[in-house]
Amino acid sequence: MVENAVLHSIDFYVIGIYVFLLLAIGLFVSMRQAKNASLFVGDKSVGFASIGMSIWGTNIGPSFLIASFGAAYSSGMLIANFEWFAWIFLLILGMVFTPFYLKSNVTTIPQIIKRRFGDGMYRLLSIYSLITIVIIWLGSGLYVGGLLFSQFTGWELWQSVLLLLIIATSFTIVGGLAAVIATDAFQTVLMIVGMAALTLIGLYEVGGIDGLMAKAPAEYWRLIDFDSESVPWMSFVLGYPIMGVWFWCTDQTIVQRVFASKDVPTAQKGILLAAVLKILPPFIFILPGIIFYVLQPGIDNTDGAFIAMVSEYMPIGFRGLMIAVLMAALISTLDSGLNSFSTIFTLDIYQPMIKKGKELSGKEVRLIGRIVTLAASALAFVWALAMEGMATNLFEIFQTLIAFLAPPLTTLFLVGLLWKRVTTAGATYGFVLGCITCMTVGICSINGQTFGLFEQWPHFLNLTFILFIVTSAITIGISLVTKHSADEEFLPKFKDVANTDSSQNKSIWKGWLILAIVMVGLYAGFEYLARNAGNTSDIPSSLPTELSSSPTTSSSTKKTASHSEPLTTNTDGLGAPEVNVYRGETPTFDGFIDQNEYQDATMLTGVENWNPQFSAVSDPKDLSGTVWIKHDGEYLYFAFDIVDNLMYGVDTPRWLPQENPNAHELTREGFPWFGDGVEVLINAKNSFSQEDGELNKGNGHSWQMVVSTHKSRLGGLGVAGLLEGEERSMLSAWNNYQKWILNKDMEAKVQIKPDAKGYTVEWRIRPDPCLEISPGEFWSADLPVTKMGLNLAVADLDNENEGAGNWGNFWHENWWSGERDKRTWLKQWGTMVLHGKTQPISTQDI
Amino acid sequence: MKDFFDPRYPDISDLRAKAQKRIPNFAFDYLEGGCMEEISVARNRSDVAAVQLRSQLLTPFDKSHLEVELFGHTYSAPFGIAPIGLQGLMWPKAPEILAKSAADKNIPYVLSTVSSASLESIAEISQGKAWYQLYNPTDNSIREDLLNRIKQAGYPVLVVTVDVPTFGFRPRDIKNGLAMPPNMTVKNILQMLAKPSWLWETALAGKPEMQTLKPYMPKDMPMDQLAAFMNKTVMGRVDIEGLKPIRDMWQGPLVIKGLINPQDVKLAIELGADGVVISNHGGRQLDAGESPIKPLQGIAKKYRSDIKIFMDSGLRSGTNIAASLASGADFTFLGRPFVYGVGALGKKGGYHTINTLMMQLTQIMNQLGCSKVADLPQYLVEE
Repeated sequence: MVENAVLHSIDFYVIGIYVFLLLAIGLFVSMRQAKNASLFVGDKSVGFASIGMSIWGTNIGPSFLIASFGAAYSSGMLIANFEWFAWIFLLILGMVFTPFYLKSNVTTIPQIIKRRFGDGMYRLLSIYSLITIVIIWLGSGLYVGGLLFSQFTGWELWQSVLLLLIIATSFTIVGGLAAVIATDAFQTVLMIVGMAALTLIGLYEVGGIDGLMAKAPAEYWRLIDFDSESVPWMSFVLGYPIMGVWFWCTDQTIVQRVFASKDVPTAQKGILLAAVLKILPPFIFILPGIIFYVLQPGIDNTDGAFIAMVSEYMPIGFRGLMIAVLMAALISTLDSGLNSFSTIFTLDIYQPMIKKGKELSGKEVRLIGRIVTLAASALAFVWALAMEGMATNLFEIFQTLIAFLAPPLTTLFLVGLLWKRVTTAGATYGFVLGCITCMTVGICSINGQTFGLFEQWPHFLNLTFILFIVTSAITIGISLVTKHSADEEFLPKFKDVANTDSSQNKSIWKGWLILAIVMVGLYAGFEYLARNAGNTSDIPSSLPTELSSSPTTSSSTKKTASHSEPLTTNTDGLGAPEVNVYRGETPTFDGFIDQNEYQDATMLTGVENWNPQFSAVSDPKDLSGTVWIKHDGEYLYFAFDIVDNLMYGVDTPRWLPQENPNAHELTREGFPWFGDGVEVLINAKNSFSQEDGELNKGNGHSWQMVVSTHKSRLGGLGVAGLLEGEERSMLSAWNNYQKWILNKDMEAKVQIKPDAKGYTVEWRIRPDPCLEISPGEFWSADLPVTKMGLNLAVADLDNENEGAGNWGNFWHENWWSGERDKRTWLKQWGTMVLHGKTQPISTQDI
Repeated sequence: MKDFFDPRYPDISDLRAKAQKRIPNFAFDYLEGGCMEEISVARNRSDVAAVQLRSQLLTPFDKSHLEVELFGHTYSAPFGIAPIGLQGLMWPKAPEILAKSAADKNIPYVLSTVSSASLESIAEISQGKAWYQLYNPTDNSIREDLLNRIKQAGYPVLVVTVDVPTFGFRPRDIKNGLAMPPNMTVKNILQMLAKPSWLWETALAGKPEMQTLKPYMPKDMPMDQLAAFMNKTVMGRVDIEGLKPIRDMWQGPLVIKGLINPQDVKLAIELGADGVVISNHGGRQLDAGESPIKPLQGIAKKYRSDIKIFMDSGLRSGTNIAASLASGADFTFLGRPFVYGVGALGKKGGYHTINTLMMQLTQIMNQLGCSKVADLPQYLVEE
């Protein structure tokens, strides 16, 4: 799937070093902590820096990374709102919830609820928590992370998933939360460094800050957009807080770090640090997405954008670093999920329900905790692999479901904990009915099922807000008509738990104030950019036309995409010409080139000026022509329109070269290219050595095939068509080529022009088996951009005496790329950039 | 800013040491290196160092003036910034920084054809004061297009470099696999990672590319093919016949750069050139070459009245500039010192280097008792 999937050995060393450091830190922390330390809250001695970095690292998982990068690619900074509003909810977590949590001396979120609403609600919430942990923290992240890892390494999905799970589970089992937090901190640093490197390399490629500002669309800098379809501002302001309170303030996995802190100020400082670190994601996760859009617009599948950028622009060693970043994103999320799962199961399910509330010894807790961690890990494994089998949209469903998980819990905490009048019955019904409503609405809206009630579902952020109102209404309504039950207990008053007067508290507030000012500044700055940055294109003022053959025109009515550089250049064998090839309409495959049939293809002109292997062409009537290239998703098409005033075997008798009297035999001893005809050479794997003389492999990886105007495999001598090309001295190549022709994996139709002053060729190539981009993997139009080696040749044989002195008395043989005598070396070929989609129309043109 | 001088670097060698610490080896090697054994590079230095000046202290003297008039413009000092290719590789935005400093300090900056900045942008930054250096564009269409662009951008002076009939055989560059933008080999990546300030600036500035030539160049051309491409299109061998069409197309002052043989100077005068730069390309082209300071005296004596005589190669200080001017040059050019300056001090490096050289030269002239640049030959100790 990934082009240039080959990782350098240095990349593997980088990954190895990361895994080694990760395990070393995890195990070191495990060894160092006291024997009786809790698996779930450590020994309550975690410093604020670790807490802050761990919250950040846990929050950022592979799905987030891929999705935010893709969203940035398609619509710019808008997605950054989700990052740059998080600090408000971290502030609420730190300054409002944390004092309650730590003073209540609990270890899990359900235990808080138990104190307020009793056992029924407690059980309900425990089970609910386990389910959300699996959905949000374990399964989908592991699936995405494993998939990415597989794409880079070429491993099977289950192998990748297993490896990643083993790494994550190892130190989580041994060291518990302390090991999780320590490794998270390390992985947070790694992610920041790695993503910063990606951003800086992207900036370098795009022409620095100036280049980015000049080329990125100004609207990509907009953060506040009332009319946006992806993140409409009003919906965001209404809906995000509901998600924010739930995710940042009441989710076990995030909040467990708070439970592990020594005291309130430490937790608060850690949370403040996490909020400060939340400034970074837009700069190092979202900005590179925007940069990549500038570098390579027009990728449809934005989920693939991140990998495409890494594999195309990251140099040796840095790809390994990026894989380490992806692994870190996954493992720092996964280990936290595993640990919280184990925490809730052991403390909230096993002890109260299975052991009927009997006190567990520390040893017993650790044993059960470890077993559950292992079990959760097995569950995650199964879940991740099950996702592979699910329809892609089912995967998206799980992603969006998160937005619908929020309202019931947010209601429970905001309304239930803050308002004393809420009764157990109110809370329970509110929660249960809320969950049912949210899931129903969620599933229907994701599937677009409206039951004809309205035209389309509102934006999910609006729904989140509405569902919150509905759930709150149920909770409040039922509470008003019911009475408090006996086991309810009110939480202490805020002013009793929060030590608002201490100097430490004041300095933490000062930190929040500074952060708030910075955030306002950032919003103002980007608003300024959105209004003032210009994306005027910087097309070079004047291009000498001789050097740049005209790029393709997509059609006469549509405007051509404005590329600032010429698409193709013929450089007399001195350069590697490059041609962009796009998707187009399926042509009528008959050998005739009708008007407009190839108007959506990329055109290469000037066959007469290509690099001559033999005599140079002086008269275009003698030899000239045009080539078109496109694909229709199924086949790759080449069309040739060749002018040739003297057709071998038509205007002249078929004569044979001195070098080989058997030239016309259709065997490995024959000369397929002897005569008038064309050749296509493709290096689908696009790998070649810099050594001299490396030739094609004669298989789907790289090949050279011939279309002759006077003989063919299927029609024999006298009938134009496809022939086995080079290197047919290799038996395997000969066999492959013949199989392709016989199976019609590759077909060519030739028409001699009515006046016999030339001919046209249509040639189509089925990607499987002819374009094998990596072992067992074939090119498909689903890939955004793929580079392949390409060379083309047009041969012209005239009278025997005309080519006197040339090998085989050849008259002309002109090559698109490569020097005389070296043009069949893989390294001499040009480049075909295959785009999965149709040629983009630049926004500047519209 | 214009008068910036950092007392930690009072000599060009101090800048050089600092720059070497901040520039990746492959780029620094390109700046430093010469042809083959680098004999010429060393000889340029030693021959300039051998020049002696004699002061005259008891005649009345007020103060010395550095101003020099060239082609109708009075420059503030008798030296300019020589054209250096691939500057952006050595320090990001070096051409922009140096063009700006030179314009502000009122000395000429000569933009190289193989620069990382486009000729249009440098014309703008230098407020139309920069000069333009051209190789011989053998491809007629490129020549015409380039000359039109140079005229349109408003360059006052055109310098045509004629001493690169071959691609200089520079072992350091060959070993390093030098390219612009740099090749991402493991070795280069490690060299770059070792220079964090360069790395950071480079990322913010963007990939260095030959902006002026970009429109004419095939995309992603490997370095080994680039040499052949350049020879064929923009850097071909040029003789007097090849210069004639350029002289015809360019009406402004034309300077021929890279001559060392009096015969060639004579031909340049006959061509109608307005200036010649006596130079051996900083020792980068002919390793057995004569250093230009040697023939300078003879050439100056014979032709100074017919044509402006400039000199470069081997100059690293005010002392060297004075030596060159005393040997008969009307004006001098220095290359490496300015890139050292930018490499060491970034944006302020251009001002610092210009100020350092001006201070050094002023001190020498005051010490000699020489009040204007044109009088310097009177103080030369002739051998």
